[in-house]
Amino acid sequence: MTPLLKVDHLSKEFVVERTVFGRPVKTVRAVDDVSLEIGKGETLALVGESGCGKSTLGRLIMRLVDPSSGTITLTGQDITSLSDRSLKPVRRRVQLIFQDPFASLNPRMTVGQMVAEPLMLHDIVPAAKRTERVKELLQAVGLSAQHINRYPHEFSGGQRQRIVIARALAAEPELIVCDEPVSALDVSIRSQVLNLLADLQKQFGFSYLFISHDLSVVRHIADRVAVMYLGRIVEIGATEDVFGDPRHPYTRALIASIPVPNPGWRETTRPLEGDLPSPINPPSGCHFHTRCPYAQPICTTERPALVSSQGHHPAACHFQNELPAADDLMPVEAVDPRLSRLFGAFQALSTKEPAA
Amino acid sequence: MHFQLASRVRFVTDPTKSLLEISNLTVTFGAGTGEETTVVDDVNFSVRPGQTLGIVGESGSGKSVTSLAVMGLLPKRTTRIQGSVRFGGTELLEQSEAALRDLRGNRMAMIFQEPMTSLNPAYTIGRQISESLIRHKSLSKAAARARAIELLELVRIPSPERRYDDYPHKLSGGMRQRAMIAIALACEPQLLIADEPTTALDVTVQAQILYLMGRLREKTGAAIVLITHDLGVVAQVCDEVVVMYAGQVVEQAPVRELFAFPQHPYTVGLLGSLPKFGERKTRLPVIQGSMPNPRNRQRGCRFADRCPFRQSRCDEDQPIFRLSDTRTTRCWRAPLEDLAS
Repeated sequence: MTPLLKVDHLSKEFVVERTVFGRPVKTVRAVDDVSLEIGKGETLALVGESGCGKSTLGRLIMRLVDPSSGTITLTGQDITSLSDRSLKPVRRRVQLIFQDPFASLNPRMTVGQMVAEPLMLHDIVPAAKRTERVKELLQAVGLSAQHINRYPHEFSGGQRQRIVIARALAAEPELIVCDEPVSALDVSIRSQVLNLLADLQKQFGFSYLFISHDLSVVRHIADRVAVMYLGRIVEIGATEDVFGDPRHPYTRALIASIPVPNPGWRETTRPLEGDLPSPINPPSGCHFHTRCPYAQPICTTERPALVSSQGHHPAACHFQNELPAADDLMPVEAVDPRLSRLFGAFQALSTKEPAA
Repeated sequence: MHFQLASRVRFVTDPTKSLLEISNLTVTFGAGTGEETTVVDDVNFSVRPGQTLGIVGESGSGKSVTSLAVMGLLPKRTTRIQGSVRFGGTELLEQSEAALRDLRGNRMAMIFQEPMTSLNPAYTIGRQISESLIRHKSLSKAAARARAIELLELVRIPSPERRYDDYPHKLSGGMRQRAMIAIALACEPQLLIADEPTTALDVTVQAQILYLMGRLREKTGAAIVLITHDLGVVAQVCDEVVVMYAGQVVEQAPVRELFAFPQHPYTVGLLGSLPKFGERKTRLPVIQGSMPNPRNRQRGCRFADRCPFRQSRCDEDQPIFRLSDTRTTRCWRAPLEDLAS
């Protein structure tokens, strides 16, 4: 079966400095030889710290940025070098949900106009039936049909994100790139939106590329996870495997940094030292060797390939088979049955439809 | 790691007594305009030296306004502040602006969320640290410079002599936040208020900053008030927790007790809605609805509209139950054990 999306050896270089004659002298490899696949109905999460290239990769896949090399294939069709005109039908199939719902809605358009725009652009629904369809979409994301003539400023953050989602849904996409969709939202609203994203996926069967730095959210929502560091994928695999048996020291450091909501489990080990190195001048060999507790001389000279060995999922580390067991990264949560019953009672009695 | 601070700390406060004591604090915006909005309503809590108190809540819960009221940073003309804020025995709400200026950045300091907007882009990092040393400790320029470099080293900024003369834009987010902490620590404050200090940072940097704050507290015995919406952070670093909702403290408890068994439905909802480790692809539990607008809050309990345990008396009135010496909740149904049977 062909995957929905296939990315092959994709790279993107940005020029950061030019000579007076316009010749590039310094470049940044924001995305460095990345290959991945997303299946139909699947959620692939892309995690990493700011500056690791995860948003650039998302934009490359959207064809908002042109790649320097490599190919992007959508259901067998190479879309790497399509012209703007021939991209238009492709754009309909890949939609984007942004991080900040305060910046991604036009304050001078009503909700109805914004959600109707993709319907009109791609001629999905005849003009006469558009209002009807917009109302359906608003209801699908948990808003009410009466919201159609309101402006974005009249909504809360969670409601705005629902409008952004409705707009993405309007184009009837096959892949939705979610760039940090819940990180601007409050805790109680976050789970509402995550549930909505999961429900819509079940209902419409599209795939997500879920870009996030929040590992607890990723762990909950993703089928597979790709971990990025300085433009490269350092580990990729099924969510249980990557979290349960991380094979790259960076993934381990990321998991160990999650503040665990359990006061009985206090992190006592020293956190990862140092900052993300400058991507303009990345470390030689394995990019992570400057911060890696297991680094050996070979790591400074040779770039490790992203390969699977001994039946593990792929990781880009020379010593992926020699890393110690990682049982102590996260607590095994033994939930107090009394507490589970309290949470259960809370949920059982919360029956109203979500409104935020 | 070198902690030059340790030898210099002079402790005047008794570690068993509260350093900061807030009672019946009420903050009203738009005072005198006819459109008054109470954003902080009857808040009580206290912090002892060496203790970390977490204030948890969502945007609009009043947690940041509470901290600004303590620091005396709210606009005087349009804000009415009632109640009492005692710091080391002194009533802060009665102090003159000049007296507050002597305290701020000196005996009490604040770390803000966004290090890019709270550092002055037109001054070097070093100058912003030495400023308070010159102002409060009457150090000479040269002595302040030496001390500032020590502080930069303390917060683990590499090559501090060089960084002293750098402008904020040359530093990464994590480094800027560390520079903010260096500014806050410059005069060895007894009270450090950190308003979402790690929200804008990556997880690995967040872990570094929290680790650093913890080590500094151990060494200097300062009290920390940590404002955050991240329950993971609270569980990792706080001793006591205050949960705020719509301007009120709805629950207050020692951290282990709160996570072991919450006693207010809002806390139950917050803790319940966290994605659990090891539990995947299930629907996340949610709190229905959203926080009420402060302009039209209902009578009685402010959480009633979203609360699955609501009863008719919740619409009329709201109790404050003291469950133990250290634990309070604003819920009629408390203790909630009966609901978990």
